[in-house]
Amino acid sequence: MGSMIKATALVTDNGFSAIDNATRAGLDCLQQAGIQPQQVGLLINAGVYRDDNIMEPSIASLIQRNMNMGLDFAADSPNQVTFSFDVVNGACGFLNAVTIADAFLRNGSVEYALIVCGDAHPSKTDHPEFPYVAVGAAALLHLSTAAADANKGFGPFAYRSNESDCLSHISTYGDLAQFGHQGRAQGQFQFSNQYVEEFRRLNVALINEFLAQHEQPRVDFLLGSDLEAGYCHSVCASSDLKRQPTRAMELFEHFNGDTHTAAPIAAFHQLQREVANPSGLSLLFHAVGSGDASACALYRS
Amino acid sequence: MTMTRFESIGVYLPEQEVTTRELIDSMDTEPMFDLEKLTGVKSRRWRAPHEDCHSLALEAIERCLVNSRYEADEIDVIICTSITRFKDGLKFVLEPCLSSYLKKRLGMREDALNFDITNACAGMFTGVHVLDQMIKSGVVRNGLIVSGECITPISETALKEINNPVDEQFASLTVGDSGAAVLMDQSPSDDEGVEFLELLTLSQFSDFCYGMPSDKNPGVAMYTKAMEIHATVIQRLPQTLGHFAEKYQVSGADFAHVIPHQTSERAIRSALALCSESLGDIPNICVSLDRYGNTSSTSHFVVLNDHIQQGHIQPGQRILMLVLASGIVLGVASVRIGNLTGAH
Repeated sequence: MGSMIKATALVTDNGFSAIDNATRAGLDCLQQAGIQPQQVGLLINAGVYRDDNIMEPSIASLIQRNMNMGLDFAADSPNQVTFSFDVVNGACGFLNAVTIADAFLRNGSVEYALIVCGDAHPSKTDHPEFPYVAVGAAALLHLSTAAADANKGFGPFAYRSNESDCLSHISTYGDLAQFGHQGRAQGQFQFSNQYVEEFRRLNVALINEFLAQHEQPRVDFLLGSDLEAGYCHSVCASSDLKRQPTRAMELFEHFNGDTHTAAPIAAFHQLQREVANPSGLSLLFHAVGSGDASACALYRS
Repeated sequence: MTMTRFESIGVYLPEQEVTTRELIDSMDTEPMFDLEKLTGVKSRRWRAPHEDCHSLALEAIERCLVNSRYEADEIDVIICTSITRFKDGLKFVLEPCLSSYLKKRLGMREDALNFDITNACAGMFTGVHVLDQMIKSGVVRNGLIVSGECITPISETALKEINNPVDEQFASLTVGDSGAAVLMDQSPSDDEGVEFLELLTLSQFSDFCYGMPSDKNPGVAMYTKAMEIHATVIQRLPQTLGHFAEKYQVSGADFAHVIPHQTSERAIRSALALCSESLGDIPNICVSLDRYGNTSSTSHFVVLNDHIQQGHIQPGQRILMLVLASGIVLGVASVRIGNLTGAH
């Protein structure tokens, strides 16, 4: 029994504030699920880029406030509280956040966990140097107690980074000494020429290792990172997934760019549009990004 | 469910000491109040020019691993919880995250997990909460939580920018640099471990304290509504602590010490005095802010290490940890301490 996705939401036409996009996606997601904000015990923001380069408080706490969630401590309902924080690990942040939320849910520490993702340039504008598409995404997780769901949900998970002596093929940062008084509205984005090749190598190696370790489970769809047109397809074609009719969920062309931390949710969202009844499908979520690091997780819907 | 425990800790404090007097003397605008008397911060540690969050974190991890029975390649997850994330000067890293650099530098296994957590001054305790849950659910066996907190750049900005006797940047003069690391695993006995831990975010007050790049100078600034935070906490802490005391059937007398977040000694004592009704006798209050200031996300571990070194905290003692951070995050933990700094 693993954590199940109760609802997802994706926001694509809401401007360039990471906080606003995640807030709207979070609210849409709860509305779809028919869940009140107060029922969410854990809120994790897995977006990397921060409006105005805010270092504190957590971006999650600002999204939580904008969602009218856990605003204050109420003596008459002291157990109805929300805890929120940011998880940061490039494109792998969402799957790291699912690993964390899954632990909280399995331990019975919370009933619902909401993960929000999405990136935007710190200036909150459509900045030409920003390498990702500004979207907001949200996924609401819970643990189903229904007998029919016994073999459903997330798990197992896998994670791997590249060799210790290899540098990350993406480096993004804010150099405050160089930015002068414009530090809130700037970022620096460096990508090595081989980053797509190197990410694919790591991505494929992890998937092959995962499939071998778990006796080649059936995978109907590969959902997640799509770094350039055809990337996700190429991961399917060059990994052991080619031995089965796994379908790669194309995102890059659909969204006109890399949806980065939001990619796994965006792909799941897309799947729900394309497949009338996703029940019984076996999905492999994957992510690859800076570090370099790659993550994957099986999900049985 | 078996408890997790703090298996070992490591703290690094940069050598250079800077007194509050020195800071005030270098300002154009004197505060309307005696900052040292109000906060109790007499001195703090200041990073050397070559030090940053990454190096402070590494120093802390090295000390932690000396105290641990684990080698780097036996660790299943590293969680870095720095607020400032500076590496190579005033560059705050976004990708890759700091834990990625640290994982590689330590030579950890490639399949070990790593991620950063950002949650203001509650960072390390958020890491403790997350790791406690991950160990209990069986996803990892152990893990390392670290924060290298290079926070004095906010003091440098405050020194340049404060122009008002009640400026929102005065709290920026109370901070100090540090690194802290804690290794956690499953507790081998009932004699040591994290007995309970709860954190909550009261998001209505999330705009009471912002840390972000300055819009006037190169560098980072923190803008704190200190009075509003104090008033909010004073109004809620007795109720919140009372709730946890009832839920876990504990009172102040069950603890040898309380380690609060290190903001201001006067604020800490007045807040805790109000809690005596819900908590009963208040245990010994541990502070180290007179010498180290507010070390932000590392504060509880800097104090814990300091009081262990001084012999005030002994293995086997039960400690109440109180978390307070921008967000506003409130939290409480009951931890029975084992031998954290001796060789295992």
